[in-house]
Amino acid sequence: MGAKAKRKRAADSMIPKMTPKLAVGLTIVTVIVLFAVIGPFLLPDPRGISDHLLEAPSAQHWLGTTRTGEDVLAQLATACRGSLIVGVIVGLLAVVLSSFFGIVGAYIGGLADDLFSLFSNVMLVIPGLPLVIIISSYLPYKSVWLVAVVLAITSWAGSARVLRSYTLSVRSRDYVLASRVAGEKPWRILAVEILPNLLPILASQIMQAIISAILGEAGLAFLGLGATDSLTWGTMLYYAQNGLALKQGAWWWFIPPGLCLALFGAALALINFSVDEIINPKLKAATKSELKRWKLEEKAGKAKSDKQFGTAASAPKLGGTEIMTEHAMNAAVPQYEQNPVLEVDDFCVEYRAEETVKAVNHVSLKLGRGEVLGLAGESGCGKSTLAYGINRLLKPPAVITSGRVVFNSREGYPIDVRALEGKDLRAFRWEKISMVFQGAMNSLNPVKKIKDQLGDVFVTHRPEMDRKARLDKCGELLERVGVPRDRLNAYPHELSGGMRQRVMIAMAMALDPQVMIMDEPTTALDVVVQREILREITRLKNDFGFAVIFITHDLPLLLEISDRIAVMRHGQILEMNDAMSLYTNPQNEYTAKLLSSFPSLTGDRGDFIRQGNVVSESTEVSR
Amino acid sequence: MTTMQMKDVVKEYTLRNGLKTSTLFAVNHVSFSLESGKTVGLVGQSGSGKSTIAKMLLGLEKPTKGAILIDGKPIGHSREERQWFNKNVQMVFQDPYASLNPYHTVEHHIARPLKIHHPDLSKEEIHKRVVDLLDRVRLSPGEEFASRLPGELSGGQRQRVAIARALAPEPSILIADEPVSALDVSIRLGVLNLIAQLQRDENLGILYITHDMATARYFSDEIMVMRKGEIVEHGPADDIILHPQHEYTKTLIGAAPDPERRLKELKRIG
Repeated sequence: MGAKAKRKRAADSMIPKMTPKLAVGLTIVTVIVLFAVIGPFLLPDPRGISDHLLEAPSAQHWLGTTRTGEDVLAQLATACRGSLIVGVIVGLLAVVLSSFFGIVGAYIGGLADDLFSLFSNVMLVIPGLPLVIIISSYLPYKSVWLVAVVLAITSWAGSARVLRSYTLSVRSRDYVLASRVAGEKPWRILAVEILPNLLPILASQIMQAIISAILGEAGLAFLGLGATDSLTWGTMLYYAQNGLALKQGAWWWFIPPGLCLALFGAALALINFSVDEIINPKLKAATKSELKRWKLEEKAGKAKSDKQFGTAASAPKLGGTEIMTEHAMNAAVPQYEQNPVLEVDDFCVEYRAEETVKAVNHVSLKLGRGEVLGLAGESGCGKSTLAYGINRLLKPPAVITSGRVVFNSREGYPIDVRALEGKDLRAFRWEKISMVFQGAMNSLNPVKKIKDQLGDVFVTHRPEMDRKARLDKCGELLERVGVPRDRLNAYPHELSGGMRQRVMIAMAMALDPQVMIMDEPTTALDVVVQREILREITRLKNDFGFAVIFITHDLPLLLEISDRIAVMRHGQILEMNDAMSLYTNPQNEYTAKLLSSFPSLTGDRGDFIRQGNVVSESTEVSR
Repeated sequence: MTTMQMKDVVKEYTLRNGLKTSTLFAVNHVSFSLESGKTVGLVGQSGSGKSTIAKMLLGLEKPTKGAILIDGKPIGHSREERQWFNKNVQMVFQDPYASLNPYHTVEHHIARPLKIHHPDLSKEEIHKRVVDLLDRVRLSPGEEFASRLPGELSGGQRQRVAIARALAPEPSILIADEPVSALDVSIRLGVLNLIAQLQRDENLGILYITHDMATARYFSDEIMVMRKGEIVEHGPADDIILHPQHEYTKTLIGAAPDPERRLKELKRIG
């Protein structure tokens, strides 16, 4: 592949995908630009006076005439040109200024950054309009350039701040550090490593600068402060206003320039949406028809599964009784078969991206009361999707295409989780199944005290509780997870990572749920803190009897804490067995491979080879 | 044969809290040496100062006190000396999703250090070396991988590119800061084995920074245990893991998941 093609592909990710919004925006911009470029050559002199005064549109004057008999269409073409020129000049000047002060300052850092951002902040508060009024009172003649420069120097500062914050984030990325380690020169790091990644945001800033420049110029011109002898949308509106066009009903005089202004602004804003989607891909939204179709598919899938397994009402119930006592259990049949708290059958989830991805593929499992089920697998194997799906937390483009989820509440009635809607669904989550999320320690709200965040659970689910009872309950919860009660008044940043994780667990336990889903609850923690949290979870589980689905990629950890382990790959459960059988006698090749990926701490080195021959390429699992 | 030494190094950071200032000893009187062909494991909790040591060894941060010597000489300030230093000491970063520039191809990442440190090479020679390096980190065919973008590679493949980039200047010391902890478990050993293989080929001195005691044991000749900026224990790998002396080392080892332990417990109960 040639160097050119490579560069093209590298740039591809920076070019927005064609969407209806982008298409409409581009079309409008193209039409207006073409009109501005070609129009003035084809149309009569915009200043040419005739004796057709203030005439409505006719075959001779398509957009009518002004009070002095000038052709409005001809004026409009020249005004388009004038406005666009001002917009582009100001847009470019503003972006050059904001790039210099924003990007360069942020990249150098230290004193330069302080000074540059101080300067930007001072410029930010200088108001453009009074400045121009002052300048115009001193200068009898104002060129377009002067107006453009004034608009530029009063408009760059805001975007300098945006660019600065982006540069600060890109600058601290590892690839920039890697270039420094390689010995790259500073200017090259800035130009080759940092700048390309700022292109989308730069494009968006240019567009914004152009819009605000055109609007700003129109505002000035409308007040009669525009460039002398210029003709722009703003001056057209100014003359129309002076000529009492509105009063005389001469709509053809002021509507065309006003419309152009509005259309052009809207078109650039539409293009900007598409650029924003590159900067932040999450903004890409599914269309309404897609959402509708997915919902129907989900319903159809549910109907089919209901037929297959019977609805929840006819779900296998244990004689409609409460929890079975240990004595009543048949020792030969495992507890999770006899008295499951959660049953999942034939569960499928698909992601409807450009290609449909089967994230969870015909998964069935049973979770026993008070059992710890480990869900092991590598990134992208569908373990989190499965957990979120069980709790009905998936959002489009995720679609549950089939399956049944039955929750057997300890009060002795089954709940068809997939049939829940609205209020019932909200009540079900957290009351019956609660979750501790991935990176949970960062999911606390930094500006709310611990007691308020814990209290929120009760405000939502136990509205009848009064303030005092709530506070008591929150304190009790904290003590339960080993956090002193006086931490109720602390803010999250005043707690260590381990403490925050404990608070999250307390929150998940608040409503005495029967199942807790823990999604990598200790991955972000240190080994020592992780150990403490694991002990805490085990203790709480023994005390309160909830079942746990523990999701992680750390198989040794699961082996220590789980009763049973399910190994997932490509959306399927490859092997499910009790922890020790899985460890000592793995049935699936992949399980064996995962197990051998962790050299034992105290045993021999397993697959790890430092001396001798290299391990064959099969070590890398093909994807 | 290259030796890199840290001699009694202290790194202080001044923390500002309103008008009050306090001093944080990120690294406190640390001395050790790295030698060609040997691996030193540096283990400890996050915030213990491991990454600060890496940054100082790479010259990205300056020590407050103490000296960093390479073959007995301090690192110079002139452009040539810096260049020579950058050529000799390279790094593999933790997160291959962050350490490759999404805008540039694999070839760019490996060709740049080659161009910087071998300015006399022609374009064709550089391309040939890029492909060679890719083949050596087992991204074959290298010709095809060279033109890919990081976004088109898996985590393990990205980390191999990062390793190739670090090897491009032909360094003698490699600093590997948690090189596999961001990767999927099933490919971790493959990447570590690759680094070990390359170490033997190139006679690299490696500083292996990790929080995983098990891989530290098998990957390193020596292990240093770090806590709050100080090295609390330093010795041969097996000694540290199997017969830890310091309380903190024992805590770390006790905290690491070990299924064997549960197996024993279950056997005892059963």
